Amino acid sequence: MSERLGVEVLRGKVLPEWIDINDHMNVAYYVLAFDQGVDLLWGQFGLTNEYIEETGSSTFAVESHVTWQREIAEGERYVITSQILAYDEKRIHQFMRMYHADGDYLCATAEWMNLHVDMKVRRVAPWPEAILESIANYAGRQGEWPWPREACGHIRVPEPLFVAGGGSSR
Amino acid sequence: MSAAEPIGVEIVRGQVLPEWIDLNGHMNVASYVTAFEVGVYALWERFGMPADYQQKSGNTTFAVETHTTYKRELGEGDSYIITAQVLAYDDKRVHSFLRMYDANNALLAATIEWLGLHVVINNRRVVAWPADVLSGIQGFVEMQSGSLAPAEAGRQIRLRKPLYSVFGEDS
Repeated sequence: MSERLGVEVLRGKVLPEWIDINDHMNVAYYVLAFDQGVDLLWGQFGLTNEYIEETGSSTFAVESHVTWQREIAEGERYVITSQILAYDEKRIHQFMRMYHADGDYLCATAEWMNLHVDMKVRRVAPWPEAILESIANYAGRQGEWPWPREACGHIRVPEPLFVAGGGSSR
Repeated sequence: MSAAEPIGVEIVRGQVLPEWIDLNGHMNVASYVTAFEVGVYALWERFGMPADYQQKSGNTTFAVETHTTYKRELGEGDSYIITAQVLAYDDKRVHSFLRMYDANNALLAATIEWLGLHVVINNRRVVAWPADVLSGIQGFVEMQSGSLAPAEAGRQIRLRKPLYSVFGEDS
């Protein structure tokens, strides 16, 4: 049992309809649960559903990398945390960990690259200033955290404004 | 951009369901995985592991790692084609790469790299592929001779001692 890494963004419970023939949580539902965590992380940046509807400012995932570490079964509770790995004026690269809430061990990880999109034209656009500032504040508090070993090594912000662990282990 | 010839062996066709659409008005990230998983099962069937494989053999597969790239949006009702390519395998793992093409314009919509592990369902332990499945995988690989490593494949998902690999020895 080890200390949880990252900032907690979501707590949840494995629903019966998420279980597959192997009697454990199905791969796609991990992505669904992590995606719910992404929405809440965006909310912490001020990018709430209301904001998205009002401003037409949204994000698209362009890449995700998931690792499965331990099985999780129906009714079991989990905690999802987030760590910012890098961002620039229109991208964010972040890393999520799903911990078993009671066993306190790592169940899965998800690494995401998201782009900020202007929904009026469905094209990539710079973050609104206030959102970029929120991301900078959020990431600034995690500057010393090392690059996760489960990260895939393929997902990259080319010229980051911030990079976890100073980018030394990238 | 002109549509190129789809790469890989076609294994399944499908259509984007209404419940797969999210707030952005396009197919949601998790639903791509659902669609690709149907492709994975179709691929398993080609290897000799049909839908009742788990029930009959007491063995199954677990995904241990996936890497997805989202290239183009798909909307409700859009038709897609999924193709498969085996990147590497050993006596108990298979590292496959699936591409999802928009059926209307043959453009690449998404890709997934999928590392599957053969497991005994009762004790959840890793176990070697049965001989017929191993030869099923080998037969599939022979069909795709000359295949190149996809540009979208990550650097993390690698078998240490593959029986076959598109990556060569230096990867």
